[in-house]
Amino acid sequence: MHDIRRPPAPHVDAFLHELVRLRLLAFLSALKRADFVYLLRQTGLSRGNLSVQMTKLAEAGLVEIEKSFVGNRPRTVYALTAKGRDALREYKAEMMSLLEALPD
Amino acid sequence: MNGRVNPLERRLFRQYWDDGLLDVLSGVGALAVGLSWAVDLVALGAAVPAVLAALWVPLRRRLVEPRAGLVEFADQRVERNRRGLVGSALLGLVALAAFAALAFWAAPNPGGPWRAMAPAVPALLLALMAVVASLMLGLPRFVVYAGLFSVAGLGVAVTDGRPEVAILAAGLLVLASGTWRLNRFLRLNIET
Repeated sequence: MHDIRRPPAPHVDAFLHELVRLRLLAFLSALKRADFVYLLRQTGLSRGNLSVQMTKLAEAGLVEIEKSFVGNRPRTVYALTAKGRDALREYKAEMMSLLEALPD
Repeated sequence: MNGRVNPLERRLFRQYWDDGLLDVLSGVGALAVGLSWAVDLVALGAAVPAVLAALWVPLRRRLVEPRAGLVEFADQRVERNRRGLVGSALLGLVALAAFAALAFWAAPNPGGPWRAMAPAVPALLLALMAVVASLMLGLPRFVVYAGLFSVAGLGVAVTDGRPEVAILAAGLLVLASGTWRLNRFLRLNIET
């Protein structure tokens, strides 16, 4: 009989494993903070999509939101939380171990 | 995430300066220095960096941020910039002292080659500042600006011209480049 035991499947966070959210978190991990317009320009997302994704990230505790007014214009500024940074670090480690198993 | 400056951060930082505002202010600054020299108020030129620094934030808020958004870089980057600014100020002072020593040493020999280089010195100092800016901010076009100041400086030295001519000529080209860049940025990025 062959040993059919398999190594445990890596636990990749499915919430982070979504390209748009991952890109947004990658941008925020490289910066101290950025506002909605900046992320809009950098990602090329629609306003609606960006707004939805940032709300989801904030609800998951990965991103913190600061709302203010500049003159009479609203400004929403985002920053990665410590939890978000840890989650990204863990995600990267899992993905690296998964990718290393791929053939060259 | 491991303390190094990552490539994405480097790219975003370089992009931060791409709107042309820095180029415009650099060109205006060079013209102001050249004009202060032309009207024999050289000391006024020393105030130019302070005036430009004071203009930077309101102009960026008015022209760039409504179009490109607000971004703040990590403390690590801010600290690197602060160290770079202090280092470049020290380098500028050392260069100035070296040029002054050279001029003093060349004074007894008015026809000598070092004496002939004297009109090029102010433009060469601005070229040095442009090289430092290029290295600090990762902007190759500032090396081109440094080249312009160097060529203009050497030009006035060869033709025995006045120092401000080199600064004004190169400053005008830097301003033209910055204006083109800023105009393109404003045209392509509508205010949101």
